[in-house]
Amino acid sequence: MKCEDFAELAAELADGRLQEVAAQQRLHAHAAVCLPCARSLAAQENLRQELRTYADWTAAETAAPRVKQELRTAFRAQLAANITPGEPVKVATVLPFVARKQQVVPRWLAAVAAGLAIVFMIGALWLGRTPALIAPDTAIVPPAAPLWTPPPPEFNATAAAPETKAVPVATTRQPIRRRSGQPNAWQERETASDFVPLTLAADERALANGTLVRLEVPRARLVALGLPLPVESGREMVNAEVMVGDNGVAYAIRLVQ
Amino acid sequence: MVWLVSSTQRTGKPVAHCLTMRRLAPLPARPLANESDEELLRRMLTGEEEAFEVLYDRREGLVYQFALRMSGSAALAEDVTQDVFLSLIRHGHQFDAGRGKLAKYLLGMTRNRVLTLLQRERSFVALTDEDEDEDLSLPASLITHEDPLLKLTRAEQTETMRQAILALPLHYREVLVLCNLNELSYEDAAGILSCPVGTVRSRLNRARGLLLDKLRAARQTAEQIVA
Ligand SMILES: [Zn+2]
Repeated sequence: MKCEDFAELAAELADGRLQEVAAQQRLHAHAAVCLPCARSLAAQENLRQELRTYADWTAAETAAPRVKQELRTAFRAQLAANITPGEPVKVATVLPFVARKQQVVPRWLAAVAAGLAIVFMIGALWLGRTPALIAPDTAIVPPAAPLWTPPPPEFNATAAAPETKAVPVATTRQPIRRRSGQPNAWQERETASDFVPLTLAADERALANGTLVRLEVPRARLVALGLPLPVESGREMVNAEVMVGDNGVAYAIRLVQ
Repeated sequence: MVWLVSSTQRTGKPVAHCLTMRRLAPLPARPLANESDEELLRRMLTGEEEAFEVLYDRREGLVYQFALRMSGSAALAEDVTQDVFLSLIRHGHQFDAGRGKLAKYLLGMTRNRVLTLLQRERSFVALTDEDEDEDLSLPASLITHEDPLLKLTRAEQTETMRQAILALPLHYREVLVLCNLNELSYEDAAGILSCPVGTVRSRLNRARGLLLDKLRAARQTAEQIVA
């Protein structure tokens, strides 16, 4: 073996990565009769130990806690924006949601809607069915309290949220027609939990023209979000409503039963 | 199916009032600590925040330390850590377990991000220029004036090694960090670096030789200063 060949494999030998026993024996045999190569091998073994020590001593170096906090915020925002990546979620309802002020509807649109309503009601009466339109203002809920508790100052939700995608349904603010045959008394039978925030910051302007989206989601998903549900039947689909601002960000979710 | 309903009709109170409610109490912890990285990722992608927490706690050091060892900058390493995990949150479904472990995938993302940021900061040494390693001059930062007896404290030894590694050309530095500090196999390192195993082997050998030279030079210079 030449010294050049030895130099090529000395580090590998020192690291214990040289698998071939015959090669190991050749290297050791050369080092036994060649002082420079023996010193080279000793230096490599010493360096190996120093690198291990360095790795051990720096193994506890970690990023600042704020990195995790910001990622957690981003995780929640992502979760809200795309409730179940890889799993189907049925979007059952899109409800207009107006928090601070009455929804502004262009006059021409209101006129068209009113016209359509009259035509439809006449048609429905003629067919002997229940009128199926609900006036838009029944879906508008004026607020009684501040929209949101301000987030802690250390959180920078905007840093994590800009790429947040809208909930994968088109938000619609046009009058929505209820399918005929839908029971009329269902609203009174339903109860809803409190909203659980999905982000740490809220944009009041976005919420003012936001939308309430009804989803069917696996029960386990709501449990993971912190909603008070029994854990056992995680695969069962339950109704939930997500409050989505007009910027596409989902701000809160609640269970509807 | 489309329903219309007023929130006040159903809940008896306005939506905005509900918004001010406090966050609900956390659920009892589930045993996730023994799950594999890949299972944690799968559960994270189905929305389990706890799976994200466990996965982050387990792998943050891998990402952060690689970035720190490659760049020498804690700020850059934190940026990289954030970018890598953010990418995992948003695009984690792109991970293909058939192509390797998640830890390797994370290191690959980390390496790409580090190189991008280092390039942006113009402290970048051309990756493909094999002649760059001929410059063996000692960076001023390698010279320590603080320990005349050369009995370096742990912190000083760490810093000497850190600076010596940082003085390596990037293509040697990354292979040394991967193979000797992260203890990756040549094959895994080759996968992350997208190069043949033989290249990893030869670069590591060269990196080790250069590192020995730099450490030796640093200690000799320190001795001369003392003398
Ligand atoms: Zn020899």
